[in-house]
Order: sequence, then structure tokens, then C-alpha cells
Amino acid sequence: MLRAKRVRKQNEISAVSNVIFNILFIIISVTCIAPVVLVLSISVSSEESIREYGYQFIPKAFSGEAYNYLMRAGDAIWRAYGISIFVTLVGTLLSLFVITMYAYPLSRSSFKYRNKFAFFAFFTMIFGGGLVPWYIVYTQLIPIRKSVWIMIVPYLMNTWYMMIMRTFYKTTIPESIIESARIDGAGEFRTFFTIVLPLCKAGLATVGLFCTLGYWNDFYLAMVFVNDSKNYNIQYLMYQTLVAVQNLLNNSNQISNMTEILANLPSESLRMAIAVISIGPIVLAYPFFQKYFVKGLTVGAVKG
Amino acid sequence: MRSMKRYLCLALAMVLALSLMLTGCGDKQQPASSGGGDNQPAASGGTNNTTGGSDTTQPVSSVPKDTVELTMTLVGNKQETDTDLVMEKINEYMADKLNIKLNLQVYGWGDPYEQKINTMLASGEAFDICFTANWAANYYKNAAAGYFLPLNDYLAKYPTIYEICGKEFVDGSALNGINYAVPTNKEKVHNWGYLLMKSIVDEFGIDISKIKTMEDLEPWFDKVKKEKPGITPLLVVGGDSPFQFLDWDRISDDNVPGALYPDNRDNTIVNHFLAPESINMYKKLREYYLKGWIHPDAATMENTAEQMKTGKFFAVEQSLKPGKDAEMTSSTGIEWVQVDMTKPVMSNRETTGALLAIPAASKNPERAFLFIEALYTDAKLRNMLNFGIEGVHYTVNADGRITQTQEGIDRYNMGPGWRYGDQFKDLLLDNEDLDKWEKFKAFNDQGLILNSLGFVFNEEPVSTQSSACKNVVTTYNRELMCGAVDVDPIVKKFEQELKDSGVDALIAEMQRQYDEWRAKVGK
Amino acid sequence: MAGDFYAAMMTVIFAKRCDNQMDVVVSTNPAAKKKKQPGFFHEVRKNWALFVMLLPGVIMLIINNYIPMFGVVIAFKKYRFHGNFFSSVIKSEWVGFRNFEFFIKTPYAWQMTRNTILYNLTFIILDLIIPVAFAIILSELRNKRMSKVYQSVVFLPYFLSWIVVSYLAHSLLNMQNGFINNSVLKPLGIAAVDWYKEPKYWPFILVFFHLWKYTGYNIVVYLAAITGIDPEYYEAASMDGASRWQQIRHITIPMLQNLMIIMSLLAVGRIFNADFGLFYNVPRNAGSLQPATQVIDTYVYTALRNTNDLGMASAAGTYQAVVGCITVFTANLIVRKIDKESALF
Repeated sequence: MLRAKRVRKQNEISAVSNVIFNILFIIISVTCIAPVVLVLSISVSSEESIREYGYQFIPKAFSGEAYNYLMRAGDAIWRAYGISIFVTLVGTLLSLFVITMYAYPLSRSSFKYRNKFAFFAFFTMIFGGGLVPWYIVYTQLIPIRKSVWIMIVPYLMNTWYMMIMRTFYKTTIPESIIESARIDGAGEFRTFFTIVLPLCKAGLATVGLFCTLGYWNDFYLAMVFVNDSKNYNIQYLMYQTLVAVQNLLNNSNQISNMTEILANLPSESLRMAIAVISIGPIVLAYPFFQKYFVKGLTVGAVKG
Repeated sequence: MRSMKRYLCLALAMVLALSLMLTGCGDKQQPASSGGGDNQPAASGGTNNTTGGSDTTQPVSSVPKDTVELTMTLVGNKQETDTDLVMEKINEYMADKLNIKLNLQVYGWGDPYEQKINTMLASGEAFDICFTANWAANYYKNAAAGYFLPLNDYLAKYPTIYEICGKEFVDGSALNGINYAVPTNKEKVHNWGYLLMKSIVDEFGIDISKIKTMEDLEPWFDKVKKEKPGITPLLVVGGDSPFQFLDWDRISDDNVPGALYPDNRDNTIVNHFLAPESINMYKKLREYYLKGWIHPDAATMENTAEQMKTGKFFAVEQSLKPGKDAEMTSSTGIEWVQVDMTKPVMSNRETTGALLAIPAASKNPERAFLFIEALYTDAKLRNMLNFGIEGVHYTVNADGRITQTQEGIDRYNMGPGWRYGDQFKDLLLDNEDLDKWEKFKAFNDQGLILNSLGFVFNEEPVSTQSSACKNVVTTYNRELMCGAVDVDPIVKKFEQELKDSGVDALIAEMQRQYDEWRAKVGK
Repeated sequence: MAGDFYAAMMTVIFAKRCDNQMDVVVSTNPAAKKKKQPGFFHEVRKNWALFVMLLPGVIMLIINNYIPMFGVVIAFKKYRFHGNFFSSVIKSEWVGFRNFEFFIKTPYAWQMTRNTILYNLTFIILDLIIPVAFAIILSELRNKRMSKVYQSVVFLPYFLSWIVVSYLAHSLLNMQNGFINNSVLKPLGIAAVDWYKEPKYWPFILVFFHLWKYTGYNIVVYLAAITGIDPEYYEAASMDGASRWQQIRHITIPMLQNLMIIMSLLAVGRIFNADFGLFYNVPRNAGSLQPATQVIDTYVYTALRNTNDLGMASAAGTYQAVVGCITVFTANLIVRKIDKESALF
């Protein structure tokens, strides 16, 4: 069966370079995957085998004790997942909304105050009043603390992402498009929603991905504000368990009556199981957004 | 044009929705009121609760008419799943006594609790009872900053706590004569010693009663090293090191230089990290390390309990109390026997090891105080708080001890009763000694009361030096405490850097304050 | 050709720096009576849609960032509680710069500052070169499917928290049975190294871990930018005889330039803030490593641990902010001189 030799497309890097780069990335991929595999494997190893043999890529003895331990928290885990998912989805959508809208006027060279507003946002990145005043704003001035929204609102406006979005607008949307839309009689909102945003899919995907990850990974807001355990997100639940385990182990001097817990604590594998559960579905986020980074989606917009 | 209007409406609608959400549908909150309170009916609305104020003038003799919600924060593993259930039962029980509703909030050991409580205190959030200690929500600092209410008036009015704990013990945590919190009645003294793996003790026929000093154990370490290749004679993890046998009476935090000798010999504060006894100890530990009696990675090892479980270590230093070996046997699955190395001593560590304070911003301080008192007097309340609902979370055995059910272990494993009230009223777990409390009381009585009991060091005048010295100490002490480095060169560097960090000024200030305090208190 | 397009895309308008923040705050509400700038109202009326777009962001910034900013004053006070937060702030004693002393007057001030700056500079530079290079390579690889797989894999380390990474690092580096000592050095006949005792290796170790964790994340931004480049430029260039390498040099990189500058400027603003998780957890707080691993954030954390001193904590944060401010303003100014449109503001 003869196959035509793969014709080098007109405009590509040489085969040799391709091979070199592939090898490079295979090595890099191994350094990236190996730890994750290790974490997974430790999480299903039995405590005894970890003590005997240390960390192994393939467990010497399998055990589900770590996951069992976590699952005993029962519905708390599922509820926490639910909260995390809600917060992430709603937070990302709202965040995208706020950020993309704020960045757009800043990218318009005809907008007289763009630099002032850029500075207005940027200043907050370097200057802050500290934890306590910020805490007071959300506990005494705005009554969202008892609801899930406390984990969404503080992160809605992210200046870093906003600056990235602004750069994307500037580089992918030529002034001529806006001009032609203006000539056609479209107002700002229309231009924004029907022309600019669709062209910026890559930028939207980037910021969307970052927001998703930001919301999903955060346990800080829950730790500082949330008192009702029904509103914990999965990261904070896991963080609590992790810290509890660490402290139990480090401070056995101070803790009596913890005998039952200490005796049965699958601590090493538990820590890794916690890591696995915290990652959970979010690993799928990247492939989801990835398709927007594929070339060619924004071609054709500039022509004509 | 229509689609533009549509988008416009959409945009405006969302902006509106956002603003509504943020302003809570028109609900206006005053600053300095409790955050978003929808279920905190205040008994009397004193917003600016300045120090020392009580909100009722007549003593509470009968059950109060109004229900008051008290928020209590404790350090623990986490907020247990069944907390609400247990709170219901407690509220039922307390309805005809104090008419309070308890809202318990538990935050994790260490950082989570610190962060949470410190922020709550600093922002003036209104909660009623706060667990604090010298190691949690730093009692001294927070009291000095004015976050806690002075309790002297209440103690005078309701002296039960004094009676139960002993006036000395309670006053041991006072700051310049003002009590900002009340301690838990628990072990009041501490001592240090070794835990030895029982199997080896039995095998080698070691006579525990003959072991009185570190040196006595050395020939056994040697024997273990020679005859038991898989077992390291001495486990050292961080502060769990024989260095503790020196039992320095520290003036400030663990990592700040400055301590008294633990035997009341004099009243001179020394830089205990560089005292001759300490240096000898470093040298001895270095010997142990070089002889292979201490494991090579001692400087970076963590988790004493975990390591103890492995069964690869013969001896480990621990703080002891009656029944410690039984406890550790239970929790590690390996049998241990304990050997005392130091004498029991009552120091500030014990008096401030577990305290309950009332935040200055509390709206119901008197009721809160009465509830705290109940934790000293009401065994039923305590055991509900500790263990949950009888029959659901635990069952009572014939001899009066209790066994936790699986439900109890999973869903309401609240943990130590030494965090509040009178621990001696607690029910015992089935794996605890029947005379545990008697033994504790005897242990307490043996203790030598240190001169420094009640002295609190105010770090402020030397806070820079203190921070810098802390930094130096954490750089060097771990290694010195496990013998991982050659002593003389490191001690020299240690000394020099401490000097550069102002340790002399630090210790001088400590001495000055101490002498002042002694003169004032008449010691 | 690329240059033309590039230039055409960038319109040049001089930017005036905003002097008075309150002006902006007041004037975002079109209905507010303004006193200073008559032209502003006119601008609002002309471009009202743009202002509406800015509104949600502005509200969030005010609530989340500007209102709490008044707390900066705590840095200069000895904070004592007086009933509630606001009266506490007002009534607490003014102590000037005393709260700043604990991290300035210490003999470690130079060490931690130097460490913080050097590490951050290294990170800024490497975070520029490596993700950009990788992003370009990934988009040039012939097998698109493999490219996508690599992209996903490189992202994985981002998901592991620094605590978990510290355990993994420990299993790699520990003296007794670490992977490196046992399975790499021993077979090669090299003596085992006590990694947690020698500070000199740690700059490399920490930089490695930083790159390992964040490269995948940083690649995303540049990848997205690359996909936005019109293939026509490449086609036109190759028809003119340019090799792929030349195309990358003259098309891809200039198109990324704006983004690279912005990312760098943003990072420069935080040059005095260190990644606490990395510097605290991975070295496992080993004392002997401190000369190489101590940064401002870890020092402040240790000093303020078990202390609820708002003033000192605030002072540390303010100090980092002020320095960050100065650095980024300077950097921004320099960038403005070279290429006005690429600046942050």
C-alpha cells in the first residue's frame, strides 16, 4: 500500500525542526504529567505501602481508604461541588460581561478618557487598603455575605484580565471595521455585541478560561467570609480537611481525644486524594476552551 | 435599530440587576452593625460597647424573658456536619435556663482560625464568645489591643469560675490585673519526657523506673542501633526534640529569645538559645546524630504522629500527662510507655493554653458570661457540646464511659473538651483510664508554680528586634535541635546574628518589664 | 507589510495622565454636576454608550477596591479597638512610620528585598521568553492534534496547589530516599546532596518550579493572540520568498509585541510581591535555606504570625504597593517614550 509522501505544505517549518520540537515537547509533557500521575497513584495507595516504599508511580498496594474517608463527609462533598460549579459558571459569565464591556471603551482610540479609566482600574492592582477594610465592606456595607454571591462578587472585575482583553481588542479589531459599522448606522452596543465580540473569540476564550480557573480554584473567599457550612465550595472544604489533617499530625501534643481519628487517618494518600478531588472536573475546562485557540476562526473579518 | 434597542435593554437590565444585588434590594446597612444580620435579635442594642460595660444592671436571678443568640467560635477540625442538630438540642435544653440560642462556629486549627478570628475582631464584628490561647488568636496581643472585654466585674458578681479553677490559675492569665478571659479547668501543669516503644522495652528488659535522665537511656539507644537495624533510636521532628527537657520558661513566643530557668532559682532572664545548658544540649544531640541515633533527615521531617505510626523509631520526646502513653498507643496503633524527664511545672503556658474571652463588640456580654459559666457547672451541657446527642452520636456504657457511634465519628466529632469550661466534668471515652480525672488532679497538685505566673510581656517597644530575632531563630534552631550541624560554628553565627538583630535590647526590655511587674505585684 | 498593518492598527493619540482620582469617580455619573471639565459632559452625551459599558466595572472597582483603600491609614497608626472599626481607626494613635520598622530596620531587609526583586525579575523575563517561544512552537507544529495534546498537558501542573507540590518536591529532593539522590545521582556515582540544607541550589529549584507551574497558563494568552493573526500575511510573505523563520521573526513576534509589553508591565507592578505559596511551601520553611528563599511576603508572614497587628500588616502591604507603583510608573513612562500606544496607561 503506497502512500504519497506527505508533501511539505508550502509554508511550514522544516521536518527536522518539527521533529526536534516534538521531542522537546514530549520531554516537557512527561515532566508535567508524571507528577499528576504520581498524585493519582498515591491517592489510591494504602498507607502502609506508602510508609514502606514511599511514593510510587504504580501503587504497591491499592486502597480506597482515602476516598472512603472523604466520602464519609457524605452530601457535604456533593453540595460543595454544586456550589463550586454554580459559582464558577455564574461568576465567569458575569465576569466576562463586566470585563469585556469595561475593556472595550479603553481600546477605542477615539474615546478621550480611555487612559484615565485604564489608570483607574490599574491603580487598584497595586494599591489596596488591606484585608480588614475590604472585609468590612462585604460584611457591613453590602449584605451578600450569607449567600453564595459573596464568592462571586469580589472577583467580578479583574483588572489583569481586563488589560489583556483590551490588548486583544486593539490587535484584532481594526479601526476600519468600527468605522464601517458606524457608517452603516450601528450604535455602540450593536457594534460591540454583533461585530466586535464575535471577532474576539480567542480573547474571550482566554479571559473566560482564566475566570473559570480563578473561580474554581479559589478558597480564600470562602475561608474569610463564609460561616455557614452549607455554602462551602469544594476547594474550601478540601482545604479545611487538609489543614485539619496537617494540624492533627503536627500538634498531637495538644490534642487529646483525637485517638480514633489519628489512628485511622490515611494521611498521605488522603492529602493526594484531596488534591484529586479539588481538581476534579476543571481539568476538562482547558480542552473546552482550547478549540477557540485554533487558527482560522477570525480570518476573513478584515477583508473588504 | 430594533436589535440595538434589544441589546441596550439587555445591558441596562443586567446593570440594574447587578446594582440591585449589590445593594440588597434597598436594604440599608449602617456601618458597624453586625454583618447582614437577619437572625440576631439583640437583647439591648448597645452599638458602641466600650470596655467594661455591662448591659443590664440587675443581676439575672430568674430566667430572662428574651431569647438571645450567642455566637461562639471555637478552634477545631472543622464545622461538623451535625452541628445544627446538636445546637437544636442545646437550645431546647438551655431555653428554660438561660434562654439563649447557641450558634457555634468552628474553624480549623492554625491559620484558618487565626485569620478568621483576627479579622472578625479587628473589624468589630459582633460575636459573643471567642476561644483564644497563647497559640490561637493570640490572647495577649488581642487583649492588649482592646478586643476583649474585661471580665473582672462579672467574675466578682459570679464567682463560680474562681471557685472551680482556683483564683491563682484564673488570675494567671490576667493582664496587669485585668482578666480578659477565663481558662479551662484542665491540666494545669506540664512536664516533658520520652515515649518508648513498648515492644523494645520488653525485649531488652529495660527497667523504666531506673530511667531518670537522658544519659540513662543512652546505652539503650546504642543497643537499639546495634541490634535493630530498621529502627532509629530517637525520633526528632521540629520542636519535638529533647531540647524541650530544658523546659525553659519562655517570656514570649516560642521562637523569641528570652526565658527564665524553670525552677524558680532566680529572676534573671537569659537568652535561652545560647545559655550554657542549651549549648550542651545541642552538643549532646549532635553526638546522638553523629552516632546515628537520630535520623539524618530530622531537620526537614514533619508530622511526629505519622512518623510514630511507622514503628521505625524507638523513642520520641513528648509533653506528658497522666495517660499520655495510652492515648498515643490508641492513636498510633503502636504501644508506648512514658518516662518522665522533667518535673511538673505550672507556667503561663498552662494558664493561657485554653481560654474563653468575650469580644468587646459583643452585644450580650452578660448573657455570654453566664453561658460560659454554664460550661463550668453544667455537665449535661458540656457533654452535649462535646459529644453530641446521646443515642445518636454516642452510647453510654455500663461503667459510665461512652463509645462513639459511627455516626458520631463521621458527623459530630467535635474533639477536645479542654477548650472550654471545666474539663473534669466530661464523660470519658471508652479507651480512657477510669481514673483519668483523679490522676489529672493529682498531677496538677504536684506542680511547681513558677514565679513568672501572671507576667505578660509587652513586645511593642522592641517589636522590630523581636521580629528580627524570630527570623534568626527559625533559621538555626531546627538544625541545632536535632544535631544535624556542627555546634560551635553554627552557634557562633547564631550568636552574631542575634546580636545584630538586637537581642540584647530585647532581653533588657524583658528584664525591665519583669522587674517592674514583680515590684508591682509584690513577688 | 506586516509593519504597515501594524502601524495602521495602532492609532496614535496622546494620553494625559489622570491627576485627580476623585474627578473620575464623580464624573462617571453623567447626571452629576461637574465643576471642572465642561468638555466632559459633552463627551458623555456623545459617547454615552461607552460610559454605560464602563459602569459595572467602575461600580465594582469602587466597592471592592476604592472604598477599602481608606484603610491604608492604619499603616500609620497603632490600632486599638474602640467599639467599632471606624471609630477605632479614627481614635487610634498616629505613629508615623513606626509600623514600617519591623521589616525595614531588620538586618534581613536587604536580603529579602534583594531576593524578592531578583526572583521577580527572573520570572518576568523568563515568563516572557519561554511562553512566547513555546506558544509559537506549538502553533507551528505540523501535527495539530499533537499540538493540542501538548497544550493540555503543559497546563496540568497549574492545577496542583503549592502544598501538594511541596510534598512532591520533598519526595524528589529529600536526603534519604529522594528520587534525585537515589535514582539519578547514585547510579552516576555522584554523592548525595542534602538539598534542603544548601541554599545555593534553590534559586534554580524555585525558578524551575515557577516555570513548571505557570508556563502552561502563560502560553494560553499568547496562543490566543497568535490565532488572531491573519494567515494572509504569512502567505504574502512566503510568496515574497521569506522562510518560515523569517516569517516568525517579522510577523508573529511583532504582532505579539503589544501583548508582551502589557504582560510585562502588569508583572512589574507587582515586583515587590512574591508568590507566597511557592516561597513558603516548597522549601518547607527550612531555616538554612532562608538566605536564598526568604522574600518579603514570607518574612512578614513569620513576623506577624500569631499576632493580630493590623498596623504592621497594613504597613507591609503599603510598602509593597508604593514600590510597585513607582516601578510601574517608571516602566510605563519608558515604554511610552518608545512606543506610546503600547503603554499601560
